[in-house]
Amino acid sequence: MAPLNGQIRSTAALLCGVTLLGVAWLLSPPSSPPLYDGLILGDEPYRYLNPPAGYRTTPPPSSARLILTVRHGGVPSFTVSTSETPPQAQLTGPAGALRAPVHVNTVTVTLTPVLAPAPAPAGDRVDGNTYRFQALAAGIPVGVAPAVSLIVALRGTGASGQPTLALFDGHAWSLRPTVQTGTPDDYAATIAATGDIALVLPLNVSAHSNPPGPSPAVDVEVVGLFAGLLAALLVLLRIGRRPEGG
Amino acid sequence: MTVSTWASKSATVQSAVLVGGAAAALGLRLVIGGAAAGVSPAAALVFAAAFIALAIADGWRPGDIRLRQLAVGTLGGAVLCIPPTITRLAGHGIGAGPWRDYPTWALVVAAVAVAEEVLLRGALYDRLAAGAGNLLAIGIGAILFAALHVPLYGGHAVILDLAVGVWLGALRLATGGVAAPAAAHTVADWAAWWLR
Repeated sequence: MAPLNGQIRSTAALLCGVTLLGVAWLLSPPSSPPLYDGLILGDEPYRYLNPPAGYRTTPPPSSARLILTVRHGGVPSFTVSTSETPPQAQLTGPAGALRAPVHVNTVTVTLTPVLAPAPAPAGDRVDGNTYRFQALAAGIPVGVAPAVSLIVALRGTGASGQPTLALFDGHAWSLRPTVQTGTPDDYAATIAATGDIALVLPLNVSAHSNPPGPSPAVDVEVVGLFAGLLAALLVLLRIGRRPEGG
Repeated sequence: MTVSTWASKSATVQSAVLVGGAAAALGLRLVIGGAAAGVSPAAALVFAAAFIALAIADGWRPGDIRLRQLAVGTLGGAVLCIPPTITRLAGHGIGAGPWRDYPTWALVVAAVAVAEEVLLRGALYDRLAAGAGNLLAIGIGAILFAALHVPLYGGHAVILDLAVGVWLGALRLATGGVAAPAAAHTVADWAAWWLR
């Protein structure tokens, strides 16, 4: 009976494991890492709509589209992101940020990479792709509600310098106060209108990536602390080992 | 003290020391790697070496590796690859990394994967299973596995890593050795290069 019990236990454990895996995959966000250990794969290279000469081959930049259901005449809060890792463009709006026309049920928000519609502001150049932010209801453009700001975040190409986010409203570029988000090449700003958005850099800044700076010094004392702790635990393990034949 | 009482107490204490050692090894990895701990090969190798040292200090030794265990492990790794494969086939994902970087990456990743299995599904599993049964050995191994990855992947990966830990523990129970979970873990890691 014992081997049979063992087989039943093993089969039950495998079934339980595979069921848990299925549930976990359903519950986990799509960006969950496909591997569970080892070295994390780094960010993918920037995807240009119009790559500079000699740039590596990448898939084309993605677009993003989100359909918002209008409830009680208002558009809910939303976040729309392109699908790169990390996203190259992301837009977040609070509830009521878009002016939905009466009698529409849905508003479609899109972020689409486009060629820069006009030369960058004087003295600047566009860094990376320009993204067209549009909101449409039944094919009719929807505007941003008065006194409401949307947060837009764009990934930079890694060029040196501090990019500024610019909005092209169909007539001219306007520079927006820009902050760097938690990640090194992501920059965010608020906008209050639909239009084309891009990061711009001063023309005199090189297009090359930031040279890697000196690595932050490893804290030798803390390394020593952990190494000492580990050594002590190793000794404890050796001492506590079951006596041979015991 | 009878031999059985001693063994039970010893299993608990040794298990606790192994868990502490795993935490110390993770701390070492995070300090050495700094902000790049998740992508630092040096930090990963130190981490792997510490895990192997802990297992050996606890008396763990590799048993006979049977072809069946490796086959089951490879199949187990294939199961782990199903969701990312579906995602990839659906046209999502960012594509494989450059070939020239793969050999080094694969070696480091395999070292870490095998070291983790040797400690979690080897030494620690043996201790816990002897003292408290297989179920607890699988459960605690899975919890520790998930906890070890939080500093690298963030909290959102906990559920998935817990489930993967249970799956690897189940492979250990089903095959009676570390080879199967180690093979599954390594296969899933290696495949990630193409499945991301």
